[in-house]
Amino acid sequence: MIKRLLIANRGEIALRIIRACKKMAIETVAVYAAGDDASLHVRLADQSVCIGPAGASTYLDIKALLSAAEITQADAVHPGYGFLAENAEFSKAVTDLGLCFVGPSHHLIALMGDKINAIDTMRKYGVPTIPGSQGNLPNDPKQHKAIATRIGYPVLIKAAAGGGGRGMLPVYHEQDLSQSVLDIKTQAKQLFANDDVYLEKYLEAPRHIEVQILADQFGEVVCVGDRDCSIQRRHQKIIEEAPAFGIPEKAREQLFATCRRALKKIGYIGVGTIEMLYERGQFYFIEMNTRIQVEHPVSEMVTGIDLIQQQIRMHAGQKLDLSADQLSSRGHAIECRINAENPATMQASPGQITRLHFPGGHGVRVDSHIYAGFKVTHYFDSLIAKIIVHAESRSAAIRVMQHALNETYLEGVETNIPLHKNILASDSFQTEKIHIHFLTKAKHSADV
Amino acid sequence: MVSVKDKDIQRIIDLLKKNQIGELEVHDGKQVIKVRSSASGGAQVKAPAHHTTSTPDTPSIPRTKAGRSIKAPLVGTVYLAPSPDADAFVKVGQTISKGQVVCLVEAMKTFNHVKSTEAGVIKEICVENGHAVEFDQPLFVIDDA
Repeated sequence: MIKRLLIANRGEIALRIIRACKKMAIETVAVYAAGDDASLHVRLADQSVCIGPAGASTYLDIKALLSAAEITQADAVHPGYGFLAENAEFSKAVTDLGLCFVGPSHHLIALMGDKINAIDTMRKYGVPTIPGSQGNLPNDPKQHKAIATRIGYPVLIKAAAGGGGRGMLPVYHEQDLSQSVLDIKTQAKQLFANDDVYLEKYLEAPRHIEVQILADQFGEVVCVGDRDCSIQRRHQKIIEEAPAFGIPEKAREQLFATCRRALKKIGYIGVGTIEMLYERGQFYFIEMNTRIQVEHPVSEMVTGIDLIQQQIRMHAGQKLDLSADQLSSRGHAIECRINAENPATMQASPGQITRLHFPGGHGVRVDSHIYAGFKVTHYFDSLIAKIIVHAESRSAAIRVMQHALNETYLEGVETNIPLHKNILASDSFQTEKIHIHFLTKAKHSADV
Repeated sequence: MVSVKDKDIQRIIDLLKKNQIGELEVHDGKQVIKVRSSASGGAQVKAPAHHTTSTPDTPSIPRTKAGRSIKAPLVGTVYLAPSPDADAFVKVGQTISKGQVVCLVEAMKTFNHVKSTEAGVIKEICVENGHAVEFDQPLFVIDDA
């Protein structure tokens, strides 16, 4: 088993990983950028190392991270999510050093990180995919028109190196196609240093459904459940729930079986999530995330599995060993991502938290790195807390979440809590009429 | 900021030295003052309450240093001489110029030459040869000639 784990991350996920390590009696090493030393993950780890100047780029400095692992004699590195979590070079660098990378091999990251490769791979193993260009768009604009016509409008232009909702643009009419392709290519070059784009059918009102995978080094792959993450603002998830309501059991079983088979074939190890769009009873694979996800707690609440613990166990070479209880799902869980931002404009709202009270009680969980006195800076993304609830049904979970948000008191930064309250109170959300364009089609911005 | 009086701090330092205590922490209900005696015998004051973690193989990292200091520009292992048999790059009391190499920090088998950011006299060497250093950790205290 791993003895000392270095967490190559910060914020709430670093804290989450430290907590799993404490449970497993694994020593922890926190790293931080100058100025981030007052962070909880630094305070609570067994050791901490300042690895570079203030700012997010320090957490992307592979040399500094490896140097910190060397001087602390860590034997494993956990990349968390974001930063270098899906960076094949980092995965390889860690394993080249003889350390355990708590994430997939660089081959698998490279395979699934390129969106087009991932779609091709999944299609090959029978996972349904969205009708699309099936490859990067060639340079000839005439061919673009032909491909789009074959797929059928509206189409979605997507950057091959994109992800997290960035580098995408829908096109409704043929006359807008060429200019839109040029626009996305330019954007992609700037954001991802890669201007390859492809086309997909644009679904009007699909739900975002994803499947949580666990796989060990002995070829055992399990789908531990699904999640609905349809509530998104500018392609960023803000509310997630487990399980995904309203999926016919047979369709779910078939989907899980297909995903399991595909991941066994590619030799996947660890945790991963297969993301799909679901419309009119059809699943369409869009991408796979080869890491732990922000919203993993909702799956933990309904199954009782500690996904980070299981992830570490898988990479330490242990066999998957889930109980019957853990392989089934009870009740319903919802997570609200609390961001330090203006609820109407989404503009980040850094500042010092002067007062803080988090909710509690039966079925209420808070994953957060903030505390009264903590300075939320502009250097990092605006997620400051995840409030998660678990109750016997979806309607009960909504009521528990509404009360939990009412109980939450936070002074010093603006948050999107008013937006969450509006969404939860809406008839559409309560009657399960949700889809990924929920927040653009219905105007749910908070009254400021 | 901590609003303690100088004489309070001096009293704590005296207590520390007199009783040969390595570290003293004083809580007054509202704030905490921590004083640690460094290897060279001088006392350092840390304020406000601050949890310093240290690795088992490396010494505690002092966060504040009187005078100006040359800090580690990266995380790694510090070497005070160009090779195991050679003389140290600099000595206490030596006058150095801006840009002069004062030590090496090795990270991932790459040796980085650390150059002084200013001219002056080396007043103190804050680290031991072969020990781990963090980014921004004080390596040398430098002062005017």
